[in-house]
Amino acid sequence: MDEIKSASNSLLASYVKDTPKSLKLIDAYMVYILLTGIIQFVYVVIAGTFPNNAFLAGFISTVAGFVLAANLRIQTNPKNASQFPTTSPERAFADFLACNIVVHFAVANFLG
Amino acid sequence: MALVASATSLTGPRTLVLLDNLDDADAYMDLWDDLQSRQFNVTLHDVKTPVSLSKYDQRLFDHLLILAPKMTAYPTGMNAKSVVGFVAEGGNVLVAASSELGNTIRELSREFDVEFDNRYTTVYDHFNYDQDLGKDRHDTVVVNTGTHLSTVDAIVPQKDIPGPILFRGIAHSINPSNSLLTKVLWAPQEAYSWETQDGDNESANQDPSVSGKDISLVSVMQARNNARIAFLGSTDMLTDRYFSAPAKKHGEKISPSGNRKFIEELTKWTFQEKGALDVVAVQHHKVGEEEAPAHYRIKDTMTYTISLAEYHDGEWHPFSADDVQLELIMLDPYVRKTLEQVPLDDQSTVGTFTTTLQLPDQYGVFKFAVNYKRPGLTYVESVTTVGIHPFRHDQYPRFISQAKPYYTSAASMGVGLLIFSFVYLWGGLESTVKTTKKA
Amino acid sequence: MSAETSTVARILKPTILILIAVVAIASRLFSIIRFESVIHEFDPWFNYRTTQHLVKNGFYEFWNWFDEKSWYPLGRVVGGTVYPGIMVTSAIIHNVLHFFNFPVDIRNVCVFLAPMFSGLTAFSAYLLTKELKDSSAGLLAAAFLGVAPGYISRSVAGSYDNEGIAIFLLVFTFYLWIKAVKTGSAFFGLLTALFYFYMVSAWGGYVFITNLVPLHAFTLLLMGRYSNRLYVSYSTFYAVGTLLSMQIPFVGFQPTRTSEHMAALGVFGLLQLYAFAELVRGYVTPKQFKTLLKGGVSAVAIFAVVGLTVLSFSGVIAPFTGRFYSLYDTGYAKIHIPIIASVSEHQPTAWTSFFFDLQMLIFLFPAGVYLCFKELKDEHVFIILYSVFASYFAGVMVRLMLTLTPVVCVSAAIAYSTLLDTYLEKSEHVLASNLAGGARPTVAAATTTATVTDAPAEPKSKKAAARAAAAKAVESETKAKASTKESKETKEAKDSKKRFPIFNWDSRAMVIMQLTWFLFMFAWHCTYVTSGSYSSPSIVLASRQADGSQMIIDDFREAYYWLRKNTGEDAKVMSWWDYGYQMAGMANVTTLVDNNTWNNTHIATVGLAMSANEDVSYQVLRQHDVDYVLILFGGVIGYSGDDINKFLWMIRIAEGVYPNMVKESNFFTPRGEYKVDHEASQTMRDSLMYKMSYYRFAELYGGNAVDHVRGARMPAEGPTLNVLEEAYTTQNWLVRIYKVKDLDNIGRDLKDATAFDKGKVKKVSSLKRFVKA
Repeated sequence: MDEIKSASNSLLASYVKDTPKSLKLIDAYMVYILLTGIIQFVYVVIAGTFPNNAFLAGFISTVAGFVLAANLRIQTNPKNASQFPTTSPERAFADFLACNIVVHFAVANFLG
Repeated sequence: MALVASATSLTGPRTLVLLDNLDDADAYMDLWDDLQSRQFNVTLHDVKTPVSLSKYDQRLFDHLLILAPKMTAYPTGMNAKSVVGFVAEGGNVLVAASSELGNTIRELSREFDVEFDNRYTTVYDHFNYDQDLGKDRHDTVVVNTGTHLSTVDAIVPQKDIPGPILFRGIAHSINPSNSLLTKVLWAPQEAYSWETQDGDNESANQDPSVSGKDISLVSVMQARNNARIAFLGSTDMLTDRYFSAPAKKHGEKISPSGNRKFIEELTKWTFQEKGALDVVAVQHHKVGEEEAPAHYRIKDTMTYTISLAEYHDGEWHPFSADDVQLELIMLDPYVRKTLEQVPLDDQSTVGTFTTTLQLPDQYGVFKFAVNYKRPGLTYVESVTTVGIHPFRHDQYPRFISQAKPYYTSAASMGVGLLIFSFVYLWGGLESTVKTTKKA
Repeated sequence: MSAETSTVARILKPTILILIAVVAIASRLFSIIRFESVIHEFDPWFNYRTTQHLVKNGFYEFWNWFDEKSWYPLGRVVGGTVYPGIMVTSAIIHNVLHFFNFPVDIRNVCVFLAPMFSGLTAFSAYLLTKELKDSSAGLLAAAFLGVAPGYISRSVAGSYDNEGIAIFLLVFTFYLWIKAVKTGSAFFGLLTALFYFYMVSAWGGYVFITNLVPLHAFTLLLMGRYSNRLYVSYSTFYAVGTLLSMQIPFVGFQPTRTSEHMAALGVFGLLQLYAFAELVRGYVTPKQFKTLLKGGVSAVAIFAVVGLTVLSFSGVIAPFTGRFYSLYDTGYAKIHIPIIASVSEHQPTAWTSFFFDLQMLIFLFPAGVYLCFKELKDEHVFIILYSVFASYFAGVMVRLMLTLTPVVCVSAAIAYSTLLDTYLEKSEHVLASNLAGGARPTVAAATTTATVTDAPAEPKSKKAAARAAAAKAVESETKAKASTKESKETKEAKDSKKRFPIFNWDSRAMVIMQLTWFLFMFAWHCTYVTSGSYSSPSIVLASRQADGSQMIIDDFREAYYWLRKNTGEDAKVMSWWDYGYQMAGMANVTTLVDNNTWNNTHIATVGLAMSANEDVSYQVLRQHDVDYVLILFGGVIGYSGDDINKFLWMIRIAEGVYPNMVKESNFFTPRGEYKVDHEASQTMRDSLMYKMSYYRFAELYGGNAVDHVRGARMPAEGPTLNVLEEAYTTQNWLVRIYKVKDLDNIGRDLKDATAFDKGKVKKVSSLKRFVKA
């Protein structure tokens, strides 16, 4: 237990120190999305799955948003630049926006 | 015979009468008078002259009276198939038999599920015979209309018959499971059918094949196309003699026979002068609309209206009833509702029955069926086929309150995305970490 | 020199692709040229009817269409039970053409849609193989897929079926997926998701993609090849793709509920955890990471196992549906779902079909897979997985040969191209690099490669031209890539690996000529197969008469046209479900059951009506308001696909729902044979189907009728029909239509009524019967 505690502490410290601000912003955004998703999931466990399509639309919009933000984070992380030779950070952001637009259209259609 | 343009009968005025020979016609003068007063064109034929019931698939006559019980073969141009075809074309038939009934008519009647007893049998009744006409052999039966006449007023209204019916002839029986047949007049309990006795009164030494109430004296059938066929076991009950003879039964007072009135009412029914129903109009529409829609939607409320008219006394009158039902059928009935009659006023020409109901929750192709079959009235089978569709995609409730969290989350996601994009792009954040580690 | 060859290559490649597309389209047009431009198969008539409805009434009417004329009286919600992809595609093409004032009829758009898309499929195969090896292999793959009979069988002109566009979407989606994994770009992931959505809207076989892509990701994880590119591509694909796929009403919520979609979800979750773990690893020391990892993995594992078990047992996650379960357990369908088992396309594949459909590709295919093993980059793992699973499924069901064909073409192209590379490369280069030992060799100028490809001076047919062009392209590609090869060889030289090229012209020529001969044979075989087997329209039969002239048997259309013209608007026709779509499309009548087979009870009721005696059948017919009954009878011309041959399936299906009324064993002789002549069992002879098929058949030949399909001599006295009367029999007795009689006017039993009409009069007194009752 103590090992886990110390490991997590050093993890947190290293995170705060080593992460650039832009990535931290993305992380904050991701946490926000995660919370929205968890709230919805709790709601569906309590209140039942009707209407199912609205639940799925809302829930998957959070999941997709989370995943796309994670993509953006990975692609703009300078540590990973060598793995993405064809993708500049600007390109990564453009892809991110494009994907989000598609997702939001689908969610809007699926909600009602 | 003078040609009369119209008749009180719905089918038409042309009547063909088949007789064993034309001299027999003299015995039925009252009958011909009655028929002609109701505007029938009566054509008398004997069975030896050729005659045809239809030509080029068109009926040549509207009604057929067979008063030729001794007939052993059809006249040329006619056969059993043509008679059945005549009925299928809408023609009405009245068949009168006697104890000398030949096999031709017997086999024809068998197709209608009416079985006459063997040739040379008579209905005998030693308790209810007429003391004038049946004195010798007890073969003229006096039938009490109060107890042995069918209660279906549409055919022969009991109360209108002034006296008992005199009958002398052959017994017949009908198939009890055939729903198209109805017994009109049947023999008293003490009657039985036995071989015709000529002189020496030989008593029955075996169980008669049919006796009592099982003996039908007059029966009718209404075919599925509403053509009507009447079977009478006696030609004598149509003769002038029997029309005018008083009925003298032992132990009862003398009263005039009711034969004339009985035959009049029976022929009125058989020849479609009364008891005919017609569906004048059928309407259905959604509540609040006028026109019938191409299809309904599940759980719609709709109104169904049907108008029925009844024919009697030469004209159409509004029909009144309280048991007309509407069924919504898709393989099985889903809804069955009794229609209410709109109250009649002086102007009404039809009886209108209506109801408002909610369509079931099942989609499919439904039949709105009014299946009204009552004894003595023509069959009413009105079927309207309409489809019931499921909800269209835009007929569902637009916003469901239970889903509010999802709407808000989706909206918040969109808002969050916008904010994030703005901050990310123009927030001036560096993407590399400044290594300002204090040594 | 290299500049010149690369320009040549750049012009040649598109030309060759266009030529391949032209060949692909042309080889699918046999039936149109021989007969006419109509929908030639039976099932596509429903797609055609739906497309007509869409074009005529607009999208919203189509989306909400409730078809009252099929599955009477239940109706069918078409909008929610159809894959709209192909109809929407045709409608869009039609509207675009009309917008530009090309008055193309919708029928022609539908007929020619599949060939057009086959050209695109060949192009997708080119792109896919280019990612795997190089563009010369790509061109070969395109050429193979363009003419491979396995694909042609479902995409001839006149076959307007879902597979026509679905295979194009399949290959293209796979190409996009490979590209996404290679580049790690979210954009390609998005494109994959969008084309996956298009595929979901087009074909039920999209489940293949839904399971193959996660399997690929999972295998890469197991091989230790997790990379951020994989994460980006798969997450984008799954998140966006699943959301999009649920927009199709027919799919609905299945991705969250059915077992077929659970693998994708599982891999998605696994990838998230993996990515998170990698992220954490970047921040802490290895030891700490290990502890964190242990704690995390155990927590997740417990949660997952418990969750999955609970969900599966409580039924929230549906088990595999019958259609897909029968792929695993091949005996399952025959016992439990006879409808699935009865479809001829669902039978296991005989080995001859593999050769028939793929010819030489089938033995190049394992070689190609082996070469993928040698390279073993991420994309090659995908091809290996695809080939393994596609082979298994193709072995289980004939219909799935179609999904095997693309991967066979791709692998065979890789193998073939490698072979050609070895035997076509310029030996001087290799020798020079070996001798120089690291020095940069000069590019030899000679282009004296064997000119076997110039052999046919005047290409007589498009095939020869295509092949010639393909071979030329390969050759020039090899030349153009000489420079890249050099750098490779330098590297290899640095590693002091000595390669021994093939020097001799004669050994080269022998192999090259062999390979070219194989290409000849392949093209010839494909055309022969296409022309002979896959281009015969099913609605018009052609046979040879004794003097060699062709006899056209057009009975189907004759019968449907009769129905169209001689029955009322609302006529309801009962037939076996195979003919449902055609009847609805061509005869415009209301049908009881059709090929959609969504309601087994309704089909079983039709089967009951066909197999029971006349009295029972009559009740069923009247309850369903049937006006006409239509059957196929091949006994006169020897057409073996008729209803008496399908009768056993009707009986089995009816028995499944009405076991008290129909027993299969009653229809066989005491010895257990299925006979239709005088040995036929009583139940068989009383059944409505038997009576309908053989009514008046014996009279046709004066009492000596022989059923040419069953080879049986029929009894001289044929069956009598009481509740039906014959309405129409086509010229060759192939289609027989009967009208259902109304209830008898005077209440008789129909049997007695028919006897009376024939002149038989009832002579027996029924007095006793009436009185006793």
